[in-house]
Amino acid sequence: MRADDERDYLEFATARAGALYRSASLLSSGDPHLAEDLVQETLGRMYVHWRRVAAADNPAAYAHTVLVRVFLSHRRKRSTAEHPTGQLPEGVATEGDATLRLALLDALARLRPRDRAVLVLRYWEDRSIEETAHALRISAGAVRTQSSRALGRLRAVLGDSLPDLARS
Amino acid sequence: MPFEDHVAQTLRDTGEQFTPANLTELVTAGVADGRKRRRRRNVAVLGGSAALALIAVGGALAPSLLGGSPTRQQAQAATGGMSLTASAKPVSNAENARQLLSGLESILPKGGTVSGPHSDWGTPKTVYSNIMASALVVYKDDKGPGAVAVSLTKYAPGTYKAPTCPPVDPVHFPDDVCHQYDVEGGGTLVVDLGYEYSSRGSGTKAWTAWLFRPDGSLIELAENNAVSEKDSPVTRQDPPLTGEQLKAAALSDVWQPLLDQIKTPKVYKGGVPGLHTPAGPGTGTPGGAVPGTGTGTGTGSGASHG
Repeated sequence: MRADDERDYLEFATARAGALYRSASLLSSGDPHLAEDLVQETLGRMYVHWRRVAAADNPAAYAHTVLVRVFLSHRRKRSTAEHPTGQLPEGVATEGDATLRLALLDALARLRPRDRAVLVLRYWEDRSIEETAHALRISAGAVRTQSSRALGRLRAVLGDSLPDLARS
Repeated sequence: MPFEDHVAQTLRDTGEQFTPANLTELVTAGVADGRKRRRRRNVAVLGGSAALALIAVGGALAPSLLGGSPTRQQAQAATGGMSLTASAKPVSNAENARQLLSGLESILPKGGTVSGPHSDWGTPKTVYSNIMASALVVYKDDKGPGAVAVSLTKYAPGTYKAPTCPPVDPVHFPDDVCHQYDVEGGGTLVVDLGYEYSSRGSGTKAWTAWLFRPDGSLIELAENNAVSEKDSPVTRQDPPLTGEQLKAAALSDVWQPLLDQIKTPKVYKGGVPGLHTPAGPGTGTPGGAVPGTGTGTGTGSGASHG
């Protein structure tokens, strides 16, 4: 990579790594090691195709799409279960918030990876149905179906406790 | 508030709490990953070995592993039982696939067992190669199981260039020690042993050897200390073949009859997409000359870094 391209890449990677890590943490349902691996591989893939990526309309969105695809690829290859730590970063959440967030992470961990990805794209990254469909390479109808199913499973795991927890 | 709105709000609240332990290290690891991918991709593009992509590259090899005559002895001992002939008589793809798998099994250390064998021969041709051939097994001995794979490809002369070792880079490749040799009779041997995530210097090891010949042939051997790459649990201390054995396997006679079955492609008239000075960041660390295929002793003394 040329020096100026590498400089641009480093600037981009440094600016986006935190956001990618947050998405990766949700996709991994709180597994910090998996989250780091996902971000590392995503940044690596961005590096390889940097010139093409840099020319894209929205390199940041592209990076998050790559992250989700890397996650799903990992899930297909990986036979072992994830290892959510059950811990959130220290000093950033009140007791009630921590309970809520841990409950959510636990519930995410119980979802199928593709359902989790749909939820993260739709409700964390605020992507449209069409954008989510593009990221996951599925139809808009499939996104609606998976989104509905994922929410249903989340409700089944959490019961109706989420609003209660949110109010606690 | 609808349930999905609660989910969205909680996701946002939860996600915002996550911060990488060390942002600089994370970016650095991403750069290292990218450099390694680029190097691997260059090999794949230049050598057309994408069929072996499920096995990663890497590299940390003690210099002592690359010297001395045991190379030839091990290679000969390992391949002595092969029944392959040097005949170029065309045989079926299925038979070639079977013989490729047999060839791979023949270079494995004695005393282990093999499972999960898989081989392909005749992947639809690309602009680079008429045939892509690969085989993969999981070898297990008393140290545990590990994946070992081989890929054979042949290119039109002048349409590939050998990879080089990555640069001396303690930040991105802290544990990489790579050796590059000129092979007697022409060609380049690169032996690169390390980790799947190179900058981390831990986890799944990924060891690879490439042997390029002037006739356009490429032999690529790759192994892991796990049954597959990418976060597969580590199942043994090191991959099944030592660095010395890996080098010997690349130099083994066993591959030539199979390479003879691969027709040399014509030069792509439109130019060769992606052909450029290879190996991404690699600047190379030339080592001593290595004897030609199975005809001498391994005395290379490639420079190491890491």
